[in-house]
Amino acid sequence: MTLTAWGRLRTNEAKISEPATLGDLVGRVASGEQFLGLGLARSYGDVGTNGDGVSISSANLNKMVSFDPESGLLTCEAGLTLRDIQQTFCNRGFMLPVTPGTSFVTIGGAIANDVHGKNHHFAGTFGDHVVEFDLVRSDGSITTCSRNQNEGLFRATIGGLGLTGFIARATIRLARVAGGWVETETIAYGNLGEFFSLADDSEADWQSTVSWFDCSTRKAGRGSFLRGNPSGSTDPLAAASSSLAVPLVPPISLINKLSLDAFNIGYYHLKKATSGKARMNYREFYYPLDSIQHWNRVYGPKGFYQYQSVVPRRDGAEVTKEMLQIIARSSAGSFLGVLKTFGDKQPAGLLSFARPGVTLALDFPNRGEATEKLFAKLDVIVSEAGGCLNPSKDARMSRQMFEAGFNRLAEFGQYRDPNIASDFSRRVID
Amino acid sequence: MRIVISAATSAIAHQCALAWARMPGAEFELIARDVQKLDGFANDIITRHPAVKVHQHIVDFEDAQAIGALAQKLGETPIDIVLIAQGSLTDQALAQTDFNYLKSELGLNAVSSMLFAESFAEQLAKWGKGKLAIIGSVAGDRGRASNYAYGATKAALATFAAGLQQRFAGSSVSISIIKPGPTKTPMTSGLNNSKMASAESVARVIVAGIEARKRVIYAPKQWALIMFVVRLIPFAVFKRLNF
Ligand SMILES: Cc1cc2nc3c(=O)[nH]c(=O)nc-3n(C[C@H](O)[C@H](O)[C@H](O)COP(=O)(O)OP(=O)(O)OC[C@H]3O[C@@H](n4cnc5c(N)ncnc54)[C@H](O)[C@@H]3O)c2cc1C
Repeated sequence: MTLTAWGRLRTNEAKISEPATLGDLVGRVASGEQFLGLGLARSYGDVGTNGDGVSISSANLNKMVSFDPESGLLTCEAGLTLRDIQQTFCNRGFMLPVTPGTSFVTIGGAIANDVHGKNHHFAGTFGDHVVEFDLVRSDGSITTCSRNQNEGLFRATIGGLGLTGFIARATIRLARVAGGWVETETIAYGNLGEFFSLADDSEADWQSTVSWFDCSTRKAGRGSFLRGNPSGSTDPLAAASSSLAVPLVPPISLINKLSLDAFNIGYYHLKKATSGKARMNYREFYYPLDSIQHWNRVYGPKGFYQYQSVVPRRDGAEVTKEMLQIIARSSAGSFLGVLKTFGDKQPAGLLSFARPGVTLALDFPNRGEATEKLFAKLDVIVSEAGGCLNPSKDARMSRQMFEAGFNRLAEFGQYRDPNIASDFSRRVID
Repeated sequence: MRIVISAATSAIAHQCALAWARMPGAEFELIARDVQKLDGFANDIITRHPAVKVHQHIVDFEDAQAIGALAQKLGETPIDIVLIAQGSLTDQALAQTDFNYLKSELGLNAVSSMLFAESFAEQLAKWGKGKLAIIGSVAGDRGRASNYAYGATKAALATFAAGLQQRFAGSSVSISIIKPGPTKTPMTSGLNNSKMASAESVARVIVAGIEARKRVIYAPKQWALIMFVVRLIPFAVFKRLNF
């Protein structure tokens, strides 16, 4: 069966198996065959692919097991999607405490990449809200891991890129909310300095902050800052209506210099025009792109990369400016540039990406060597600043870059499951 | 709304249950063969919809006596909906060589569903109302080389349902035969199922169809037209087709 990661850079002929029960799952995991766990394949690069080998998918392990409204603890199978959780609980006064920018993500995938959201300075990463999980390993064992029990394996599995075992079920703590609404404010900014003051000023009073910015024109640096807090509104929220879709892959990328400039300038003015306060439902606020299915297809048959870096806050402003200049000059421009600050919370997992600093995320159409050259230049800046790249978005970083950015890699090694590997692990770890 | 579901651990049946659970006053009698498995599905419903009542029943799907007794017991109070969902996707090649396998597949896919249908139809008749639906398949609309062992059982269910429909015509008991197209479920997980309809979307069509007391429910709906055409293809042409 074909398996393509979100960036669509490659197509794998994978052997996908979809066990439907725990017994089935243990049988497959312990079959002796090398494998990798698979969620909804929303990772951009190769952390979720295993060449033409076996992928064990959680597609049929998507049941809820129990929920305690006193504590907010939800126990569920690892294939349950964040979308399903939000929809089920938003009108019951609970939501996920941390969510990435798409809801088409499984619990297993969210743990394995220790995903972050717009509220990192407030709530940390997804892993910070995982209470425990059951890990199935290739020796046939099922190990319950938490902060009190098998803590080493717990910390290794959070952000562990699926390499420590298959997460069968997990208990996570949902956050209490009034309903599914968010009180937001959008503010246009003209340069990076303004961005950083907005980010600093918002930390105390706003749970979520994020910004989109323009990096394709000479005015690079201007953008739109969005901040939000859970609303006190208890108005019930209707289920999502059916969404638009990009039905097929166009023969060439629709993202070119012209359309990009037009998009970025248009987006800037649109946001500027709608600056101000607004009440949004959680889908508009957290998942603006989920309403267009398969939007990744607009990049055409060659696919695209996301480059997401984090650098320490100290030189963050300088480093970001330098990176944006290089990107603007390269005219390899970006459809969506996201800039945000992470809070001071220490990472939940041994290999977690999110850490104190400034993170920049940009999508680039795959233009072969030109794109690689640009990335090489950016790598130098990120490395020199003591930063690193996000594995869940990556398809090309070097081994040195990974080792330099993830200094607990050696410690992580002792928790690896010997029968699990990914294209990513073969490229930068094994 | 009291709903009986047999083979409640099948993906389509479970999605139907979740759709019904969203409606006010749903109460379920879930029937399956495997306690542990059924427990997981029942918990899923209760966790999502804490107000919904769920009762579990384990029965041997081919024990005519036990099925009759269970129907009798559940029929002591009125039943609004009965959904009969058992089925296993028969491996056609294996069925052509292993006759014990063929026999057990025919048993589960045809005989078991008919035993449930007959037993529960009797209970609905007793109260003079209710909706009974049996999951058949588009595969029952025309025998094909690739899946006739499976298709024949589903055709049998369609005929069985048609008979029940005539029998209860003019009463408040309605009978539906459901014909899902290929659906992405654990049953089809060995096949290349990425382009198949989701169990959730199929369930939406089924729940609406049962509510409207449709005699035949194709899900997704476009299968009605597709199968209409497939049935019309002359054999001289059909024999050369490879699908
Ligand atoms: C539009 C978009 C926006 C995004 N925004 C963000 C964001 O804001 N923040 C962020 O952090 N990320 C973001 N991401 C990335 C995404 O959240 C992660 O890649 C996530 O891990 C994908 O989950 P998945 O279920 O698709 O898992 P996959 O991509 O299928 O797998 C991811 C990893 O998890 C492992 N895995 C999956 N299931 C299991 C299991 N049951 N047991 C063990 N290992 C398992 C895989 O082996 C793999 O290493 C975004 C992605 C998209 C497409």
